Amino acid sequence: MSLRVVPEDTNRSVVNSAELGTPAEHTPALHDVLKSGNGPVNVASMINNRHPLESRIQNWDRNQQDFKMEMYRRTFGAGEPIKRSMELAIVDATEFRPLVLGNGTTNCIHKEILLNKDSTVDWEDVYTGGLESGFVPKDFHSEMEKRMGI
Amino acid sequence: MPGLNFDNYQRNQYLASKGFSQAKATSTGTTIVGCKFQNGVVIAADTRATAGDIVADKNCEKLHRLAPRIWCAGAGTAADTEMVTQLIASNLELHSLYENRKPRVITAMTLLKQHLFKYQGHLGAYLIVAGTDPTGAHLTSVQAHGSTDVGEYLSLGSGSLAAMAVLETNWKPDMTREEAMQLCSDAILLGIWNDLGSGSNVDLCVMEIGKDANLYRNYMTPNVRIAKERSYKFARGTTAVLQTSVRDLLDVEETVIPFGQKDSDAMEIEA
Repeated sequence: MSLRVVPEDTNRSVVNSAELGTPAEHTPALHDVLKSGNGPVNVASMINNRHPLESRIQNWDRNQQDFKMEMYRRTFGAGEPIKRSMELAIVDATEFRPLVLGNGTTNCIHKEILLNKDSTVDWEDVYTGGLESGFVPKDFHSEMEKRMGI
Repeated sequence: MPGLNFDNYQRNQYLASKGFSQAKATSTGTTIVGCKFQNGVVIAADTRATAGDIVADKNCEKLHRLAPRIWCAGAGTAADTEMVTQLIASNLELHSLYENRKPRVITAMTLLKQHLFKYQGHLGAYLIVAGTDPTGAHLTSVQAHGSTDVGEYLSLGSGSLAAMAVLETNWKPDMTREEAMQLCSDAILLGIWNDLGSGSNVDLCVMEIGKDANLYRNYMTPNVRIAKERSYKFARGTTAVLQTSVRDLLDVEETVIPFGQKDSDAMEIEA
């Protein structure tokens, strides 16, 4: 574990084609083209010529959280980050909002309290990435299948 | 994805490579200054917004309110300074509600620099943050990459060199409110006259310790448009009226005619 302040550049040396799209149930190495409805995923377009900020912004919160957890681990011992991760996992497991109702990952107040974001506002709260910004929800069944591990 | 969206970046790159022109951001080639005085702090700005060599707005507002007593002047990309200050103003308000304390300048500055650092200078906001809080009057500047300065007098923007010349010459410690206002407006005026990116009027904001902030919108208007030498207004009746027709407005009246109302007693169902 490291104390990185800013996320690492994601210049991949290895590309796993399955992680760039929804893997199919029957052939997990391939994309589920039928369910995603987007057609075949162009791997090159997912990796080349992306905006230099994109991965930084995407991984920013994750990195900050890891940084904090590592600090807690060094200060209070392993129990502290484990407890906090478990609390987050509990909230994640109990709070369920289907994607068809919008991309509302930021609307969970319990999670926001745990992440210390309940009194801040950021672009994620302004541009919630809902249907108006071109978000196409996955169908409810495949979401549930994934959630329940079917 | 929630948040700022990068989806069109690849498309725009592709279009640019095919020779299509890219959209340009309106930048405020700007002069902004700030200066502390005995009992507070003054910030001032010009009011010209430019898009390349075109003046996009002759009287735009570059002084933004972060909190009632913390104001900030913005240079750089006009939209970025506007939106970033709005977002940080909201955060500052939320934070002060959370802490149940008056917001501090150092908090505003820290929120701004952390936000701007996250975006690696892609948000082109160069700001002078000033204000009064329970700890006194403060004056700081924030650069787009997230670095900050603290000073007794600061200038930023394309006209900052002209403005700094005035500040360096005429600034002295412990000025009065009037002297500081004079110094800041002089500095902006020099930016207005000597920098092509700056122009029009002088906006000014005075924040005194223990008093409400005073915004002087268009404190000076040295560039009032003079009247045209000739009047191009045509006198009434210059053009002959060939024909007139007046159409009467149609008056629609609606009346509701009740149906079967008078027999209502007879219709009642008896148990």
